[in-house]
Amino acid sequence: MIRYQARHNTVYDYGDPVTLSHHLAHLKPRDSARQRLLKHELRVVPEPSTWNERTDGFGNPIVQFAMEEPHQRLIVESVIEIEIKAAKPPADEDCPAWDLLRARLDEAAPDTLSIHTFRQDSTLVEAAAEFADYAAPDFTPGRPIVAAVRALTSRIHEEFAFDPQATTVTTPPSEVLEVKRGVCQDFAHLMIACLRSVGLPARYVSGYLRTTPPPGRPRLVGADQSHAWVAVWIGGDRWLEFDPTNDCIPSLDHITVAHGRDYDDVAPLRGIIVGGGPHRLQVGVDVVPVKNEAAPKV
Amino acid sequence: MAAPDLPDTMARVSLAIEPQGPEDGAQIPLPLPGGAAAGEPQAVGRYLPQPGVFDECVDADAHLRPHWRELFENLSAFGPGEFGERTERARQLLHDNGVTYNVYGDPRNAARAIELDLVPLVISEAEWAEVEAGLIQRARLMNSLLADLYGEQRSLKDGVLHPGVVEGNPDYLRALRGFRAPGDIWLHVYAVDLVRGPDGRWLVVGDRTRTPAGPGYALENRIITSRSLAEAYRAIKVKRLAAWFDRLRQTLRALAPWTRYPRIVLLTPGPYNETYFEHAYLARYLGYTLVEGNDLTVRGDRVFLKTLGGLEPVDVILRRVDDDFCDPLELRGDSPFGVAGLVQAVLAGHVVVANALGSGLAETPAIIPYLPALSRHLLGEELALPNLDTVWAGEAQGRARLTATGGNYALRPAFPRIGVPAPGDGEAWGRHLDYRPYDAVGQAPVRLSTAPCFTPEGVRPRPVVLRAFLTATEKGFSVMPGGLVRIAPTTDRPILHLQQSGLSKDAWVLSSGPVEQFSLLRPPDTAVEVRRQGNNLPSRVADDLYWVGRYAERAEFGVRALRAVIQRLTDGGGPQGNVEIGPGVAFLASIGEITPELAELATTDREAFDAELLPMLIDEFRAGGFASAVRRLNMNTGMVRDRLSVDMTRVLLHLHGQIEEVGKATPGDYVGLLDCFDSIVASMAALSGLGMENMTRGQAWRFMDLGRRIERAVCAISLTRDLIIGGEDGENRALDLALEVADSFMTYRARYFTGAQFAPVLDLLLLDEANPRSLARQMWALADHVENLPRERGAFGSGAARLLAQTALAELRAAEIQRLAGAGADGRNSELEALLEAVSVTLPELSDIISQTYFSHALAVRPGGPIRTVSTP
Repeated sequence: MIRYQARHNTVYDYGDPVTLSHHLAHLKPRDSARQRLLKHELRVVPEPSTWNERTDGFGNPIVQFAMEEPHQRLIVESVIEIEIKAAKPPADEDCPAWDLLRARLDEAAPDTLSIHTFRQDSTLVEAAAEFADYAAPDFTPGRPIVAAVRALTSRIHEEFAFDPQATTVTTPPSEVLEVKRGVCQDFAHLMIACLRSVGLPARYVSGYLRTTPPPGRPRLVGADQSHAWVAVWIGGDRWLEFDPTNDCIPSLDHITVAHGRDYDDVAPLRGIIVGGGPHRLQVGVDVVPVKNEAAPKV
Repeated sequence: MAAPDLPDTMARVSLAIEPQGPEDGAQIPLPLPGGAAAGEPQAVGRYLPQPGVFDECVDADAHLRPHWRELFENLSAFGPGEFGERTERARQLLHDNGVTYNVYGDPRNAARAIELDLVPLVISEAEWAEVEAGLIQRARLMNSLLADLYGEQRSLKDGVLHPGVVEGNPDYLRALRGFRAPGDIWLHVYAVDLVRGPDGRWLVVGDRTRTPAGPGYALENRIITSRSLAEAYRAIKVKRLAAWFDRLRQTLRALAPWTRYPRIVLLTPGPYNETYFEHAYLARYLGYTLVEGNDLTVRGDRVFLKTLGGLEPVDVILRRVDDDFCDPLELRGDSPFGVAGLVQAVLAGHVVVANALGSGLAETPAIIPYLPALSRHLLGEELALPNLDTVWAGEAQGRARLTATGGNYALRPAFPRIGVPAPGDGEAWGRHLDYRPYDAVGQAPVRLSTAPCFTPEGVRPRPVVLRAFLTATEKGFSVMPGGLVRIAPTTDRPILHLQQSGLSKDAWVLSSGPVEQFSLLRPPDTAVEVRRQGNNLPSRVADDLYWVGRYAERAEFGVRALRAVIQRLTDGGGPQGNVEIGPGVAFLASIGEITPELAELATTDREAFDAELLPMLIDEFRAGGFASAVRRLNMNTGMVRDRLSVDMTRVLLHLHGQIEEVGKATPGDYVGLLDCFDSIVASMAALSGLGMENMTRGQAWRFMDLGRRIERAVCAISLTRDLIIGGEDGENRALDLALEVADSFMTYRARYFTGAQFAPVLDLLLLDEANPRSLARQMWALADHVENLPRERGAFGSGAARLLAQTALAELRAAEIQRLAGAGADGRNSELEALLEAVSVTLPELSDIISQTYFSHALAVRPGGPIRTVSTP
């Protein structure tokens, strides 16, 4: 178990005054079997005129706020303290075969109800034959799900180059598959597309990485920024996470903020503004371990 | 073998069965003239229902069904050709009313006229009662299903409905999970598409729960059919439609119990939507403000309408925008049609959206196979109205059944999604089904029933589909007696979308009791409060009207200038004619009607000039030209269609044709071209006349006229600079031309009895406030408009605008004509130039202040750039 403090700062500088803005923030981490939120502060400048906290359709905490006074700079600062437990991935042989799981979903057994959400198409990820073809070599009949997905994760990591210049926030997974380049969001979307195209449910997980690795271990790709990875249904109510960008199973270094069907469901900060002109955006994420005794009591 | 129960009038045309070729069947002459002379047997339309198809008006034994008898008794009184004439008149009426249906994919995005068949579909009272009961039950079922799916989800937990139907549905709005619709009403308007199979049973082929289209078309069909067949409509007891619309109004009014006078708006995606005509039509009929997403704003969890007078709270939104497009913040981020923050306002309970956000979920045909079980589960009742057999391929069982039908079932998309094969494209579906089976729904083939339709060959049986409409009321759902009947191109496939058939007809449900005489336009009991001011004008509408005024004036000025200059290219230009050609074409180039290169050609190479002139004139995408002004005029009028009279719409339609005529003129035939210009000038004059004489002097008129005055002032200044001053030493002066373009030639003649001279022309076109085309007159009108603009909006804007207009007017009034006309030692009219400069700087400033003060709320909203989840190694 490890305790972190994380800061996620967002600053928008607008060329012209923004006269009205509405925002939706996915910045408060959700609790899970692997993590417990101890403290969360969200500071917004200028002072919002409305502030609503609720949960979205996936159980993620959200804040919806609006500013009605003209402003040229928006600062959103999220500070969290959180406790993370190590992942305990089951052994391959303890997992059902991937095709067995798919068949269970086809029957629409009542205990799989909430699972279906992540098997169908979503805004940014739609199943297609090309993804099924790409995934096919790893999904041989009867193979345990964890083994199959781990193989897919490694293959994406090997065959795709990390390249922030190659894609934009709207690049569809089909294009990523073609150019074999992209960033964590692209790899997560691609992997979700592959999994759904072979009939398996997959979630998009957004979160943070530990900034400085423990001594003797390499720094992970994706620190200093929001990160994204994938969770796969492995039967019952269990999901297992995979990070195709770093070819690993997220554990003590990964902090989950939210999960949804794709990026569009859990974008950290969405906004609709009136006015503003051209804008400049700065984002910074900083994740450091804190000593247990230093943490305030909750 | 005349049937004994036939009316006398039928006997006259001898009902008979004659064997007839390969399509052998009952051939029944109906007493409707087919176009030939009266009295001859051949003149009577041969009505020949296909074997194996249910016909609405003739039974299997070739007898007229009793409930059609009254209609035909009435119609048989028509003389030969009369039905055709009435059809033609009805068609003209529809065209003039601008009843259209926009067809997607049309390169010019042209609106296609809806066509109307005048022979109504007659439905007997007893049969309708049964259909009505079934429809009401289905509406209750759909409503409970929506409440369940956004609430407890019993239907999913108990395994009655497959979760894929819900979870894979883009219309399932997860942001609304746990939301309870006010009064538990999700479907304020609900529509059902019905067909009648060969056994005579009505079958449901589809449901419309998102934003059901059609009630407005049904109403328009009723109004025109009842007017065209007035005798029959009076004689036959037909259930009226108006009361249904009143129930809808009452339902919507009751949704905002917190206020006595709720503000209800109709939210449209805008004029490019396929059913925009209906949105404008219903808004006008129901008395609601027609708004687009940008007209609304959310402040503090409440929805407001941006009006000239400021923000006005909105209580109820009748929407024609699809569910996921309603809020770009929480739903589809790329939606240009929604209102940011609407979901939050709905969840907070400060506004009610009808149909409830998320109700589009029940529209998928993938739900149809589960409805019988859902009815038992949610209502404890057997489903009364049967469905056309429908199968969803997202479930193993459904896939197996589809395979078993061997391609017999027509495949159509289960969900509104991009990249899904077209309905019926079996080959594309075959591949698609392998990896995305859940996208497909298969429906059993059905032979549609036929009903009599009027064709050029006479009355013929044509396949029909009935769209029925329901509205929620305090006492449950209420069915519109009748509906929209679409005529299908073929008998073997039901049409599901309005795009698939523009031909429709009215449905007459017979009544044995007294007919409700009720009109929404004159409610019997409620006294209307006398009002002089209309409702507060939305800022966007004021904005659009302002530009209608500017572009109308710009187009008129341009075409007047063209006419006057082209006139001089012929020999009929008067004594000054030849001298004025040079300045004239230079002027045309200066105001952008032609390019400078073309102006050059006018004096050097007339043949090349002639060849290039016409295509340039009609190029509506060349900025500056009058064709482009007319295009923008059309765009702006399209957006305020509910504010302009039918007459104006007609003039604009006409104008379009007149511009096409310009393109057809022969190059070099100036006389023919001038004829075209004459007729365009007449249309433009009609347009400005309608604006002056037929629009109430309210805010709408004021903003339109403001635009016209500003543009006319701008034009007057360029006219003065280019043609009256005409450069140094007046070397390019063209005074006659200036008088003609400014339509002031007659006044000048009457006043001075001499040829045009500098000072008098300057006085008439610049300073004379009695001349409706003079600059001073425009500034006077502008000062008056600005004085009367709404003030509530904060004194700054209106105060600054007043100051600008008054100052410019004062400067013009203080000017002395002799000093203005006098040239200095350098040969320049520097005082005149300074005055023109002062006023010409004022005009854009004035325009900007008005935009900022009154239209700024209508500024486009754009996404604030989502933060990309990007990381660097």
